Amino acid sequence: MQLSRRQLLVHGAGAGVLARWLPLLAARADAARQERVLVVLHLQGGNDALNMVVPHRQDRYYVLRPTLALKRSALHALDDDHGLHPAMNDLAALYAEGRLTVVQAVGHPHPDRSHFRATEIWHTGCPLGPSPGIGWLGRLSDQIWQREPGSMPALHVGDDEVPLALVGREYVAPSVSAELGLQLAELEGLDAARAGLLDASDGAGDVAFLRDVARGAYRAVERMERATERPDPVSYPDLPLARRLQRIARLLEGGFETRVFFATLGGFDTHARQAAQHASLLEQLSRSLGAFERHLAAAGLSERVATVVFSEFGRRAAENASRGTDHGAAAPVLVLGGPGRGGMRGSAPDLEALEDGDVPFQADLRSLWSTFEQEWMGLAPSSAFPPLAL
Amino acid sequence: MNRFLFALVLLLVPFTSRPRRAPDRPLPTLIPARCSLYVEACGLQERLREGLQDPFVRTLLDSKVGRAWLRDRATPPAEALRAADTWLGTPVLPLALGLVEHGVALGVDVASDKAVAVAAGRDEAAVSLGLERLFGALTRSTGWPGSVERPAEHWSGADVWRIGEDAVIARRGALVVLGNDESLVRETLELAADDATRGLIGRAQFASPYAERAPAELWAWLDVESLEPEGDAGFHELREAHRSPAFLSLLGPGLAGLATSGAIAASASLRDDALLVTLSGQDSASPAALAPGARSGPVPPELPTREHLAQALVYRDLAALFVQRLELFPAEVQPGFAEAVTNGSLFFAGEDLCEDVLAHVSPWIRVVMGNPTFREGAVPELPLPGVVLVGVLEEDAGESWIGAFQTLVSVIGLDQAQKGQKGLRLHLERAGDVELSLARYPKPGAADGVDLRYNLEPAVTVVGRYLVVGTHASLVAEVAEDLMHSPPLETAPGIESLTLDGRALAAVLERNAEALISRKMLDEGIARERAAKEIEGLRLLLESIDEARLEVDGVQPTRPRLELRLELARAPEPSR
Amino acid sequence: MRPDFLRPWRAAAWDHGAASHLLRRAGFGGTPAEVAEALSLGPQETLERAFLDRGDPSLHASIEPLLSAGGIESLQAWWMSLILESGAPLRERMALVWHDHFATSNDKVDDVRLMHRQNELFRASGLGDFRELLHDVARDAAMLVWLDGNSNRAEQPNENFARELLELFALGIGSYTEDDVREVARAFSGWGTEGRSSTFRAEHHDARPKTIFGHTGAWTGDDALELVLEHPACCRHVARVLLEAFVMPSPADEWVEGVAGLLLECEWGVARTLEVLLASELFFSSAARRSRIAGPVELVAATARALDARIAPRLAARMASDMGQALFRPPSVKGWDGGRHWIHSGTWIARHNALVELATAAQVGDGRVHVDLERSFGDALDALPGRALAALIPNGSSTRFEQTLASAARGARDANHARQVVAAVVLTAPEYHLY
Repeated sequence: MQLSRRQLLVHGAGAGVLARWLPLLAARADAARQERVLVVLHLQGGNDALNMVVPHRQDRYYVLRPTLALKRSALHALDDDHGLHPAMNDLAALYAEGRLTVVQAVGHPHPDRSHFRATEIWHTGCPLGPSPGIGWLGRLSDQIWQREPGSMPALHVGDDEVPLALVGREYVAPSVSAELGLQLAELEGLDAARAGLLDASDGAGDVAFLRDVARGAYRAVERMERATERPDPVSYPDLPLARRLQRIARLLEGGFETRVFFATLGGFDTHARQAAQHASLLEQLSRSLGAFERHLAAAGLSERVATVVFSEFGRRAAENASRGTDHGAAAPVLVLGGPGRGGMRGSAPDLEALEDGDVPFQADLRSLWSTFEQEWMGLAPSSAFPPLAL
Repeated sequence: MNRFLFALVLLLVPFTSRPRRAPDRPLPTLIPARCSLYVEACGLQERLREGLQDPFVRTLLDSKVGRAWLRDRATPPAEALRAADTWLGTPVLPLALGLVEHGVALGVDVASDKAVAVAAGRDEAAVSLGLERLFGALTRSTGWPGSVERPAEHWSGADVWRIGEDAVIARRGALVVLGNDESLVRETLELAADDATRGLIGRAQFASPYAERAPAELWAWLDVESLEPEGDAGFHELREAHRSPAFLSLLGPGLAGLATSGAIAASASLRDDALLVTLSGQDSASPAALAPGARSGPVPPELPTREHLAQALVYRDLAALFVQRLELFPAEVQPGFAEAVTNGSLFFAGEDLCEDVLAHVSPWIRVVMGNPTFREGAVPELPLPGVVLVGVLEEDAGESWIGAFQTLVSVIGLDQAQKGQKGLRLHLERAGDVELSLARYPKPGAADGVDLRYNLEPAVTVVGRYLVVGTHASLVAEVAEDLMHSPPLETAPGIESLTLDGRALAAVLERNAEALISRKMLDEGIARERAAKEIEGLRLLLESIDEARLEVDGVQPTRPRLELRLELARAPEPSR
Repeated sequence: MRPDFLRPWRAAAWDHGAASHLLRRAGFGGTPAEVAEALSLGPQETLERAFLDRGDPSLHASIEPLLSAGGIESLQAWWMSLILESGAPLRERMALVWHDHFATSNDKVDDVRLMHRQNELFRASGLGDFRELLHDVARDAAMLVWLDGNSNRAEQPNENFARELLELFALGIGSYTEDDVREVARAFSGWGTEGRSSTFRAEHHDARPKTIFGHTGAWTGDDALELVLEHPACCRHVARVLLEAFVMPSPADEWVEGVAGLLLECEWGVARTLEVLLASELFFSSAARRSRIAGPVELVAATARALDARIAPRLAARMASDMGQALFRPPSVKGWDGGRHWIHSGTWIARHNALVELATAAQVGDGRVHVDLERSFGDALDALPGRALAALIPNGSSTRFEQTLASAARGARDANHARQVVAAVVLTAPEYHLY
């Protein structure tokens, strides 16, 4: 655990004392950092964040969105100028508790409105130049893998293919189905026999390496199975995202070693008749995250787990002719726990000063990723962009 | 066990529709109630009487697939029968007839794989003789069940003999019971000793279809609900068809009704050269709101068959499906609906998909499958049949559909261009009196080969109130031409139907045989020869069917009915 | 004079281990019958047989009707079927080596016919003259699409192909300069595709003089290739490829030099080079045996053959993909890194699953595995551990291993189960994954 600033001051009286504590502090801080977990959620399709975190004081909002604008009275108040979409009750409560941080206008230069390219940019953290084919979470996984070969640094929870964000040079996260977990082909008698062989320590080089990895893999599967056996302290809504977060929470509760988790919620590409569908999706997001955070709190994990929710782009400030919105650029990112101290970061988007119909970006996504790589996980960042003060 | 299977084979040969003498007591009173499958072979007696000269057996053997089967056999059926006669020591057919003259039925507890067969013989003497001969031959060959004089046990007044490890055969008076599980046979014999109406007949779900069954056919009954614990993922998906918009749209109310029925009764019979199969379901979960007739609408006429492969009339009330989605479907699929509505509205230039578009389409839709005419230089290496849909619209509603089609093609073309692919291009063409909007790929280069996607040349046109849309322009043009000179619209028939031309389908299969063989080789890891043989078998089967007509009656949503009529094609040369 | 390590290996110790080693490297392993036959034939004849093509032509042609239908999975299944059949072991092995070396991915090419054509090129010319192969690869349509040939024009050169040619295909980093890359790119300007055919567009070709490796001239693409082939680093680069593919990872410089010399002596003939290399002292040395972590494709194929299993090619291809080697879809132009890069927790689980499925003749989706362990291992249960180890990990058994297997066999339900457990334990043991 980290010493708070107050405690440091109290103990700072004797430099000698501090000197004795410092290495321990560093080691503790290191150890704490090593236990930290990052959960990344991708809202696929381009979330209309202007209707999620609403700058309701600006008249221009209502002018740009004659049918889609949300009534001020219906919103959950965030600060004087902003409100949260009416469907997001749980997230409003988390904001009130100081657990939710909203980072305004995160984006990058030269926005690309193609789903494919924008996703690539956010997943790799490389807005310029061709994609390196490696994801920013993959780079984190590689670092963890270097230190602990045979571990399972990252996991993708979902049924589709592993996202680019998780592809590393050395390590590529496996996909785990929310319902089924990691399936291992079984054969009676195999486990017992195998245990004996894997405990051996003879052989060097490649054999030892293979053994380490194998042991780690089997241990991971076993722990995953055990983790699902106990009942949950909270009830989760019957929604796809909730099931994925439930799987993650159970794994963490079971002491699973994985440090990075990734899940996706799709359906945000609302070009027409946006209101109902967007509300339904935001409700799913809010309720799922609400249950997830309650579970973490009940299991005493809140301090260790940070969640970041992003989308590959926001949507245009003005609505279109079909009562929907088109692809945009920068948008707010939600952070739960972790380096975020709660509240709004950055200034409100100025709807009078749009660039090409979009909110101009304030924070570069590379800085955002640095924040998590360096500040939160204590690993080497993938870019030189300074971390944000959240 | 082989002998048990031999007996089963005898039971599964179909028969004529001449009324049979009913057994003294209905066979279902003898079958234990826990059986989930019941099969009664009411016409077996006629088959056994006539043997190989029986008209239906002859029809089967004369068909193309039958002929091929005969060619593959080492011993022709006549010789096989003679060998059986020798083995038995007496002609086999009359002997068997003596054993089953008053009825034969099979009960199966599918969950546990246990089965029992009961046969009501001519009289005690015939049955005793039959068993004696049978046992004699069996004992000579295999050593069991031993002499008919020495039954192993007596249960409920019946003599019992054991066959092999599990199987048991018993005789009580003129009744023969054969089963692969001791407890099931015991139960059957207890029912035989009893006069009460217990057994399968006591189940309400069974009793009423049994009472209503049409005379003398192969009749079967299946408790589908009891199979659910065993089924795989695909089976469960079918059982939940009423909760899936995709399945309901694909299968339609009638077929979805059958898929979701609690129990299904089936019968098969032969009429002239046609095989008739009927299925009726009970306690089906098909929604009443989507049943044929729930919304009335005009019907597109039947089209003259121009060598069409298949033609169907289906009832799909998509408007009701969308409008009532909250009541009909679970929460999981609602976002999908929302997305479909918003995207659909996009293509229809902002009109509401449910209120403005689907509500003005008749739920009766005609479907035609045929072989398209391909452009020169763009004939796909794997030519596939095309499909055309004919719907009936309100007046002047056609334009928005054409607009939607054009928008869709443009969007697809743009998407393909972004990916660097050669995209569909929109064309407007006149074919005779018909103006078509169509999309096609630019012709491939001479050395480039013609890929599968050249099978697609989607087109749409409006003829009066008819909307004609299909996967290939030449077919759409043909259908549109026919509709121009078509009779006025009929009133709703209430029944969905499908007609297939087996031979035409066989020709399609043949054109694509090489690809199918290759697929089989790669999917199953078998040699070319075996794969080719299996594909050829399928082709012959299709060629043996002159016409297949399927009618589905889903008017009563809880009691769907299906009738399939297969006209079998006779091969030119007579069989020997 | 040929260096010592390339001299023919004295066949005195031609045992099960040596035969297995040769069959696994010069092909994709052997069935128990094939290993026995190899033992009786001796190393020279066994190697000669590996060069033969005794495959079923109808299997080779089976992909043709499906090419117009476009699915890459069918192409993957088809190549896997040829590998599993092992009608022409060295030919297929070499094709896989070139596929990894000249790595081209369908994810970008997106054309099954072009990938098929490239694959056939590797198959037909892979064992021939490397110089001709290099020329043919440079004009291969799939390669041109993959490395942006169509974008390489005089006004605006695209260096993608030139860079990979020098860095990965022919010379290796350090043997050329950035200027060389630029000039080579100019030499190839105008090379592109028209539909599915390779073509040369003179109007896009930069015909001005270029200086490549210090030589100036109005070089064309073909000229550039000749200059590359003449570069002293080229034969060393190719020699390294052959050594890493067939002998051991990270070979010493001395050996690379020796094989480079051999390659030149054989006038760039790959088959002739392999005839010497695969019969050499170095090849049969203990440093070379079981020195590599088996890649997914060879693992699935060799295991299926060692167990005499029949497996649906589509399923086999999918197993290899799950383990990280999707044929026709290498992760980048560098191909598959191999070695320890094959192994992490996710891929280990995939390996475990595939191997247990093979051992237990599982029904996996629509694909079926047919295996008769009794035929492979015999029916004597007390000899079972020894025979399983001998068949699967030759010269790799230990008392502890045998004891573990023996107790696993004793604890089994019946004879069939015993064989399955023993096979599964051996296959999922880390030792098994060294080929």
